[in-house]
Amino acid sequence: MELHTLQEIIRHGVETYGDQAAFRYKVKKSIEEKTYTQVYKDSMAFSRALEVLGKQGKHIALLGTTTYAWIISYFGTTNSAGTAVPIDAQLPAEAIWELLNRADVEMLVYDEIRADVAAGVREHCPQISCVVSMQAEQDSDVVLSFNQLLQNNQGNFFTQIQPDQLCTILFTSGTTGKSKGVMLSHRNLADNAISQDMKIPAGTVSMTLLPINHVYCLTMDIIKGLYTGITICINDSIMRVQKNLTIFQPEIILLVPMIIESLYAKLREAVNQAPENTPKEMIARAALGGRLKTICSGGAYLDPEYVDRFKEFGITILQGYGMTECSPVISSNLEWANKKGSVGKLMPNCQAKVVDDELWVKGSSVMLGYYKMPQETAETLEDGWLKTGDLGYVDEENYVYITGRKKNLIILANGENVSPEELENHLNRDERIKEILVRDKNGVIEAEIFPDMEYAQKAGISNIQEELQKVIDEFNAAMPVYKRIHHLVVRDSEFVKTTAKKIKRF
Amino acid sequence: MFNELKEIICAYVDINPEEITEDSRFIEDLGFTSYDFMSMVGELEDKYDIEVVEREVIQVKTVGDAVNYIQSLQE
Repeated sequence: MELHTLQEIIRHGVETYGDQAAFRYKVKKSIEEKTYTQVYKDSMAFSRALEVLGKQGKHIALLGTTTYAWIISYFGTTNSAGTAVPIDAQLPAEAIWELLNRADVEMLVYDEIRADVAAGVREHCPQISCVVSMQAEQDSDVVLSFNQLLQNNQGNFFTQIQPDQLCTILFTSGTTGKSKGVMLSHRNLADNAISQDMKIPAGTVSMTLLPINHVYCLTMDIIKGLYTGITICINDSIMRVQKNLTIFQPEIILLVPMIIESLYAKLREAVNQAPENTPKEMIARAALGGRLKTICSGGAYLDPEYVDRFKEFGITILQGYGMTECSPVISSNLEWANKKGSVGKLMPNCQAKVVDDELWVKGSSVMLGYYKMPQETAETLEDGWLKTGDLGYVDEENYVYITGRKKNLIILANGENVSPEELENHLNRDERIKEILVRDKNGVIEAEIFPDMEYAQKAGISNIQEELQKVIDEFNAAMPVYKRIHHLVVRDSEFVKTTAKKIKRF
Repeated sequence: MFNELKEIICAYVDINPEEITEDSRFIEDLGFTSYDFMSMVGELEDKYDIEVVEREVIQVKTVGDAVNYIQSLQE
């Protein structure tokens, strides 16, 4: 079936899966369930609410972790011809307000874990005239209740959606320090979710634990999950994965390499503790919930050895590759088609070519562009071809191999992208720092600093190492966890420079 | 509690318990990944019957911070 909009996918869900559970999630000590029919009705209710509030078709920001309210707000927005702007809930408030302004957001739907952001919206984001709390039971003077909006606006809603219209803006780290708003259309996301049939039967149980403001989770966990008729269990916190694996017993799960490596360490430990000759499959069942068969890996490169290691435990790992600008999946290994060392076969809706060793891709999932950044867009898209910034090649059977990275971006094992320039620009403002270089050092972010000794002397600083560590600690306190610098090196001479006087990155 | 925590730490990272001090930083000194740290916090939730707030626990840097934080939740 040819579906090219998120509206069609939700409609397909209610017609095909009806009363089957679409979502399961914890509410205090019990498990709540929402069916495909409820998802359809609730997202329409949210669309109706937007219409009543005069916000239909506008840019609506979603700020929070994965919850039913977030998901309904998302589809309610996109399926009423609006544009959803998912925001990273880990960012400092100032950074969030800036993104809300840059994305021309007119309405904010927020989780109470970031009540601080909502409280500052009137002052910092004057174009936002409507603020909705995902948890509030009742409307207040300044904040509307998501639950009330749904209750008060039940009923049918339909508006014509064009597949190529914008529906989502996702901010991703830029290599020059400024984050870029990737514009994705209905077709970009729907095609990415649908074009590769992974032969997963309806009724399969998954657990979603990656951040929903990342498009890997949004497209593959949520949109593809809803298209396929999966029951999607929501992990409530990264602290509780182990516990929730036991509660929800997923059969399939999307992970990033950091978590895969950690789970493997757990399995090895379990082997050591178990009686000799206990079958490894039995150990895996006990350790990972009981029914886990498949792990899809994305977000960062996974050492191919893990595929064999998990195979011993009866679990298949399917490694894929992509980027936000491609909605995101460009290639994926499959149960019946996989090659060790490759990042999978090109998606059916994707073509690839190599230009000066760099992988370029083209297809219906390539983004519309960067929001209000025409120069950056022109540098990244050329005649519909997306320049990935990754070095690689495609073999004769269409399997993709990544050999390196052209762009200056740190990609951590948890899939987060960090721009070294962003951190360097921020820290360079400190008078104690003359020159700074930020890099990935064995999976953690390292800063190498050449201090301004003249300033240090005048300021009476006797221990420069200690002083710079304080600078780093203050910086880290204001940063989300994944942008923190965990290793500091102090040098006593200037960095080697290029002829253009820029620090040479080795 | 410090000794109990040391034992739990050693289940996550390959380190000699004697090397762990109250000032040991989980990521920089003990080699935790951010995911392992959060997993361990989840285990501590169950062990000490506390409910951790994610945005508070990300400020915990050292073993000493962790002990203080758990104790503050127990009060």
